[in-house]
Amino acid sequence: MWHFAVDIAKPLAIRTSLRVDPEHDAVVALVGENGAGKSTLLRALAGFFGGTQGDLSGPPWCRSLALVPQQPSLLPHRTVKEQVEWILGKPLSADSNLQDWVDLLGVGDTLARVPGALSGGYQQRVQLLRALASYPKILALDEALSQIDAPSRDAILGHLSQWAQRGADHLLIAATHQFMDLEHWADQVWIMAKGHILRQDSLAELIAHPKTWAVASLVGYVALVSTDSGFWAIREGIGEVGPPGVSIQGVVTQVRINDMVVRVPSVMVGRQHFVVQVAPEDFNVGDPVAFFLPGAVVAPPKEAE
Amino acid sequence: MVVTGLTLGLGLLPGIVLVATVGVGGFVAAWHTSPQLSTAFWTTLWSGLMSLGIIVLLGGPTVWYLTRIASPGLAIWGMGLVLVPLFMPPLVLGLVLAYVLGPDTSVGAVLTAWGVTTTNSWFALVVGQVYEALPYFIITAWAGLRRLSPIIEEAAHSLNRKPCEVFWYVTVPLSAPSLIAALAMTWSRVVGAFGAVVILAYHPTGLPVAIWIGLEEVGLAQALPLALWLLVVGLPVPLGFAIRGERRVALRR
Repeated sequence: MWHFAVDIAKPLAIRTSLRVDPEHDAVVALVGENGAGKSTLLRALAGFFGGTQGDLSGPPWCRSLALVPQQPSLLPHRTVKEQVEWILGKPLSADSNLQDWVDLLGVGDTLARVPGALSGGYQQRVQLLRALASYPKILALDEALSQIDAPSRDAILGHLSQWAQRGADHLLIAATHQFMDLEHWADQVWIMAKGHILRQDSLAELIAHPKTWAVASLVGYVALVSTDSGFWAIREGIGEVGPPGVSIQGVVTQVRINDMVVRVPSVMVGRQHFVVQVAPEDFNVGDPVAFFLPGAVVAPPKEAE
Repeated sequence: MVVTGLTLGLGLLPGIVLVATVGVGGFVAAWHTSPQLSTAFWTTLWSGLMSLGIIVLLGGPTVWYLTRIASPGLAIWGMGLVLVPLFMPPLVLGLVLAYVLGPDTSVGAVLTAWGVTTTNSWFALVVGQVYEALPYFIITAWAGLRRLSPIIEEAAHSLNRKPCEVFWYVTVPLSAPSLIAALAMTWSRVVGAFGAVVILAYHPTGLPVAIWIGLEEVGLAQALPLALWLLVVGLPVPLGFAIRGERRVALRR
């Protein structure tokens, strides 16, 4: 069981206590908007603000957490191989495990090159390889896969997820503002906003019961609607003429061959136009229409803030 | 292009004028005929190297503190203070130093009691050179070091490399081009230091003071060969550093 307790005032006030059982939840997605404090939280866990954060203490170079930052952090004056071996402390050829990672990350061709000669995506792959060379227990990725193409990113996340599950105390914490990236891999999600961890739960639970718009907006809900039955967070989807879902009133703005586009005036935040699948011959532009979309009841927005 | 040619021409001018007037023969002969030349040559070389070392020891930590540790406000005030000796005429710097280090002053008295001769000594010569040249080192090194992102070093720390390892493997190589530029700049200033030096340390006589003495006592025939020899002391270090610096920069690309 890992226990993290963060209490810092600068550069952003963050005060939180988190427990994770890596045997059960090996991959954590840290999800929040830009500026929510994800990077600051990870930097605090890495030890850059001093102090003790639960099970993590001492200076950064004594912690079993490897932080891979968002910004390029490779040594510009050393080849990939040189800097990986510098962290590893022995030749790459003497470590079969890391050689496997070279293949899994697809960076075999980059070993003799300096980072400046690599694309952004390959620099990020190399950053991962170098971080793994320090043999961390916790691998903290701060949007560290953002420039890798989607199929490769998914494959790499799969390998990293396996890495996290193999070691009894291995934990992968991946910060992202794009929740979709981690949808398939996260065992647990930390929802962060304005320096607070709003929720710590499984992804399925968060999607089924977002409870507030702030959480809903980070786990795939696209709009907040005020209806007669309260405030609803609306999921991505195509509107139907009947249940299931929440009944919404809209105005037809475009009639197409098989469906039509409806504007929903009661949208408070997010997307206003939805596609509704009905027999369009019954409707004209400007007609009012009632339809159903998948959604979840959330607290009134003011309380959610 | 024309402007660049003109600017570079200004750099070549002293060499052209001096070689044209003194001639290669006069340059070589001066070593044997001019009584002060060889002493002044070695004085400038050794005192310059000493001053350079002291400037690195003083300026290095200062720049590090101002770019990495100090608050932005303190850094701005710090840099402002560093600039002061830069716009003061060196002669005034010499007078200021004489007021502080003279044998009749309290600082001078303490140093004298420790056995340090505070004027007309190697100590005084080096102090004068350091005072004149230190700002050049700090400004140049500061400009380079503040561009160096701490992210790279932090990432290495997070991957369990200790600060001393990161310093030698990351910080020093990455700041090398700007440190090399700073050293070249500082050396140029150190060997040419005259204003503060002539007030504080007439003896031991380095080349800049020897040129002035030669001009006063004998005239151009005495002064110009010495000036050409100053070029010999001064030029190799910046030139060597520039070549080395270019290689470093090329490596980083």
